[in-house]
Amino acid sequence: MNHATGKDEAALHAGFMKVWGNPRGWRAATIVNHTVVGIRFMVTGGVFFLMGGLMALLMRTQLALPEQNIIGPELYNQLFSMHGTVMMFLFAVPALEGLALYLIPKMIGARDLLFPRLGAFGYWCYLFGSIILMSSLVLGIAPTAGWFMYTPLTNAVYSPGPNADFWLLGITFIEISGVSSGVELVVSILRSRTPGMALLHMPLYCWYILVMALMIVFGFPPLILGSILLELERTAGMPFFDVARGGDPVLWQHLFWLFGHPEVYIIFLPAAGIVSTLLPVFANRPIVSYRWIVLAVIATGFLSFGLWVHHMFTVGLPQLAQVFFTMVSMLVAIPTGIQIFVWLATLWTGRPVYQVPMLWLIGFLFIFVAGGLTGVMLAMVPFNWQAHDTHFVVAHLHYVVIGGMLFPFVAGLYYWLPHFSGRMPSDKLARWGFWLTFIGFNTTFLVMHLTGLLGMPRRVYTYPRGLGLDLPNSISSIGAFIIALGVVTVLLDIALHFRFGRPAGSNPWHADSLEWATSTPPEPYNFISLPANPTRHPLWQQPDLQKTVAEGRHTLSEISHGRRETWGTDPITGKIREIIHLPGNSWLPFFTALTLSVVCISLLVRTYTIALIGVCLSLVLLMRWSWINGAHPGAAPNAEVKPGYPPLHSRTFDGPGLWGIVITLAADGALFLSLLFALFYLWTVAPHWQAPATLPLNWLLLLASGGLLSCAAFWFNRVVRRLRKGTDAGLQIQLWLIALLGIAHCVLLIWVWTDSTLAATLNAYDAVISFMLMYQLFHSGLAVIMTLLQALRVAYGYVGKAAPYEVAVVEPWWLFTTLIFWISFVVIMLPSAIAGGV
Amino acid sequence: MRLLKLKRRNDRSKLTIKSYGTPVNHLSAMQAGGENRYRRKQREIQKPGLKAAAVIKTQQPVERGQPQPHHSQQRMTLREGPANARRKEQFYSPLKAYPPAGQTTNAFRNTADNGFSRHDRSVAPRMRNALPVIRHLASAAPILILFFLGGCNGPQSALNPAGPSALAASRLWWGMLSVSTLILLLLVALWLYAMWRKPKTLTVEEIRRINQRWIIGGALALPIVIIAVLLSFGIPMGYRMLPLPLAGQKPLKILVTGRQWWWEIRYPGTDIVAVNELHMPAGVPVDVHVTSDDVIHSFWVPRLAGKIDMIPGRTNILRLEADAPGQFRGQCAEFCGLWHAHMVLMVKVQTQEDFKAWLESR
Repeated sequence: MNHATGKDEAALHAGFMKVWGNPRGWRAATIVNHTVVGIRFMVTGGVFFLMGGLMALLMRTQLALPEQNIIGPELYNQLFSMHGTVMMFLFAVPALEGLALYLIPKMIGARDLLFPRLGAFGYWCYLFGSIILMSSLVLGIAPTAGWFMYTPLTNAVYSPGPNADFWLLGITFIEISGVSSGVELVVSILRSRTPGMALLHMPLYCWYILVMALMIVFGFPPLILGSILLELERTAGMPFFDVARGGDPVLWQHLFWLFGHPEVYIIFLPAAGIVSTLLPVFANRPIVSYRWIVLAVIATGFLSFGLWVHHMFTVGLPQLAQVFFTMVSMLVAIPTGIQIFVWLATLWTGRPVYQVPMLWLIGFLFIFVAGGLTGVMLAMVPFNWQAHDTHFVVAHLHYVVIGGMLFPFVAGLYYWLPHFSGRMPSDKLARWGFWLTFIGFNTTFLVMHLTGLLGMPRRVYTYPRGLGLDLPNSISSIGAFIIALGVVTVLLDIALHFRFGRPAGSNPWHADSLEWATSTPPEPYNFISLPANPTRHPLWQQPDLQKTVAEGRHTLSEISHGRRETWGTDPITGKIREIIHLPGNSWLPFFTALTLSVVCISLLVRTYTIALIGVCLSLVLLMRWSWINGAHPGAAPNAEVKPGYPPLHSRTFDGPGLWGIVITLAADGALFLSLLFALFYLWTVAPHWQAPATLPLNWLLLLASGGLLSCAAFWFNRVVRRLRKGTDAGLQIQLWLIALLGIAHCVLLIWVWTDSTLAATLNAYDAVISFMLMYQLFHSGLAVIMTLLQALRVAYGYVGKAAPYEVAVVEPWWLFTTLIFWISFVVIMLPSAIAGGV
Repeated sequence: MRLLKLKRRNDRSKLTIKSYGTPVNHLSAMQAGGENRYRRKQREIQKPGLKAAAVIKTQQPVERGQPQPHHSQQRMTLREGPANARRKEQFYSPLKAYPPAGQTTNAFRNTADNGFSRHDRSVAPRMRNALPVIRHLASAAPILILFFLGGCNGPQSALNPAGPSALAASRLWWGMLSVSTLILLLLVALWLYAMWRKPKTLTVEEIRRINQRWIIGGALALPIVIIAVLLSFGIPMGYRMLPLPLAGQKPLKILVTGRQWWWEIRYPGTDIVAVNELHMPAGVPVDVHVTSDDVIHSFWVPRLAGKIDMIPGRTNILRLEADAPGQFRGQCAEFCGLWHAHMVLMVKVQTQEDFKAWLESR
């Protein structure tokens, strides 16, 4: 392709910085660049890790001796609830996502992620949500019911204060940020790899992140749904989990673990991805079996959705279900085993060098394998009945999570430190840090297995003398402080290396992947020119890549147009399809997240008018957000590209937005499926379930409403088809009319609802159906708003034959809305159809 | 003077108890505080108990107008059956706040206080002042080995089985532990050897073969064999633990209801209602039917069997069997709110004759 030789490096850099540069001062809140956002995620996650660690130290102090009363049960319950919540939602997922956000574009040779504003928005949501959640601890009203929030303990009767609301609202807020990062990562990995990087040329880390991001997309919605339902039960009295009114508390457990078990793999997979990246570099050879690893990662992703019930073996489930879930739980050992043995074979056949990151990887292997083995034990039902909800499980989960996430993460931190800062850490301090953490960890948690089997349940703030629990608990407490010492040493090392570390130079570990072809620390644009990359180990094959990239010898090194550009490539082959232009820095993500956090807070204090104002305000901001797109002067008004280059993505039908909406709808679909699961679960299991024999609403009107919706969706589809053929005659008027149809549909739907005999607070069936109608209205309403916006944009000339891209993005939303309508319709008709009384 | 604050939480009259600094025996607090619903409830529970003196009450309600005695000096009134009819008064330390069970009978209290733990005795007179942890460890050092050998014998230890279910589970544990330890050590040894052995120059074909050997042998064959073996042991074992119908006999049925934060035990066919103490005969299977009246609890007597959740709206059945008479401590295993740590159950296993006599004497 384009080999523009001899360009002036400094001039190129200056030109790129004009377009890509990050502002300083208070304007830094507008930065959307993935390098900055990724580092912000990691640093914020690190701060929460320290807070969670402090909570753990407080708890271990309380448990150090029997019958202590340093911390009473009220505070202790807050501490263990927040410790789990903080470590899972505020540290592990965001920190790993942050690392992925930082690395992925660099590894696949792109300049940024494809939805930079969404990434920044995700960060602000995470930050504000976390602050709201942590403020509850400061106010002394933190959640007290554990990170698993089992009902009925968390319903309005047994948790009347705002404690549980903090969890439900705060975590939902943070999870939405998680899902948005997940969508962004999936689309970026699939659509913005450097030219020629086929799917099987991607660094393994990208595979891991791809699977993790997809797992987030499908795994978070069940909990988001569960949290919304529980919050509705608490505030509006809709009885989804109340036995007496036809709900079932075990439904919450299903929804929670439907999320909760994939969650474990969501934090394990990226960490394993770090192992698969580092190990070959330190073994001085490629990984021996790339395809086996890819297969294992995908298999893990699938299996992890089929074993949530092993958290619920003591609930009293049917024997067959227990056997099935035991087997699936054990099967997951196979893909994990494949990865471990591929790593072993890589070391065996390579020429390993012994560096600090390797030390952490050895620690990982020992701890994680031990945790995996106790996991297999716990999958054995007879043993599970003894060990479940004891300190044995506490030990097991820390082995898995600290071994499987923290150790590889720290290994990765040491490995990429030179990339972040351009300097090397101190070898001596690093070794001290490792050994303290490793020894402290095993001191704390090895003996804890025994503590559990000796009869110590989880989540107790104290224990009596005379049960034989005194000594093991004291040992664990001492170990906890040794871990703290280790963590402090590592932090000290990292802090000092910024000042005293020796310069790393480029590619200090002699690594193979593209992220080391940027400068260290990297510039906001990553690469001046984007290299074609048809191999798995670009830097081993072209050691001078960094130089040629910086000299602009590869593609897309023009900047005079003032656009942020990166390649849009084929998801499988990596062939170039179009140029993707990316939005620049913006206040919108910050302010949208801010208004949403106002909504969150006003829901917490139950001032619903302010919440409504906040929702409207954030809707306006979001509309403004989507306004500055495509042919808008703030985006890419001029579609001219260099001769020989493909068009800009906003001038095609195949941009990242289409992929983004499809993945988002996949998450939405997962939420809808969870809702159907909830309905059928209650229908078949809840002891006092009552589905009415007569329809609670006017089905003819409902049918008419669905007819209008289907017409609108069909019409929209036709408009897009005509647009694809190159005709945009009457586009604007058609969009207005479609929106009108949609409005008529919404009005009818509201009529049906207000006219119905649904008593959402009296029984669970009515509550679920009401929620379904709400869900439908939300989607129909958004479809209308988006269509109106498109019609307006046609009027402004931002959308049309020349820039047809956005109309195509809205189309899947219409189709999805129609689909869920008809499924809901069938579900609503079902009980009376069964009773024969339509 | 400790402050007790009782607050009506809502119309369902759940109680929030705020104690300033000290754990409170909430049950006695409830009664002492004179909260109406609980008084009523207590009366209901007592009612059959007045006929059947087996009801072990934790405390007598304090009359209104009577000064509230200091908690630790409250008097426990125990009613015992004619078998050992005597009245005992005992002092109850607030620090020993696993109230109801610990105070039930005199014999019980003794064991709970000093008899139970073997290593506790060897750690000897404990001092609760300066640097307790260090003192603790210093005195513990010589018994560290003892601890790992004999440390499993606590009164609530799943590794000190006293019934067939618990025995099976503990055997399963020791078996799995030994195999797992072997695998772990092997894997780490291989890994370390791979890192530090002298690298060889290998051909592509050799590398492929080594890799295949590892994946097929280590990652496929090894786990599949282990899973097969485990399942072939585990599934029948789990099956035998279920409350299956028995040939020729009907297991004794006991109803246990969990409440925040106490246990109510009933024997169908009798009007016995016991609180926090479950009597059962040795040597025969007993089916415990558990449910909950408020939040989710979990019934767990580690020395006899695994646990089962107590969920409002449904009844789960757990098969218990004790080999010999004795006392076994149990504890709620599902987090159930503020005083979860103190929701303790004592299981008193008697010989079949004694149990029959106990049952009939009510």
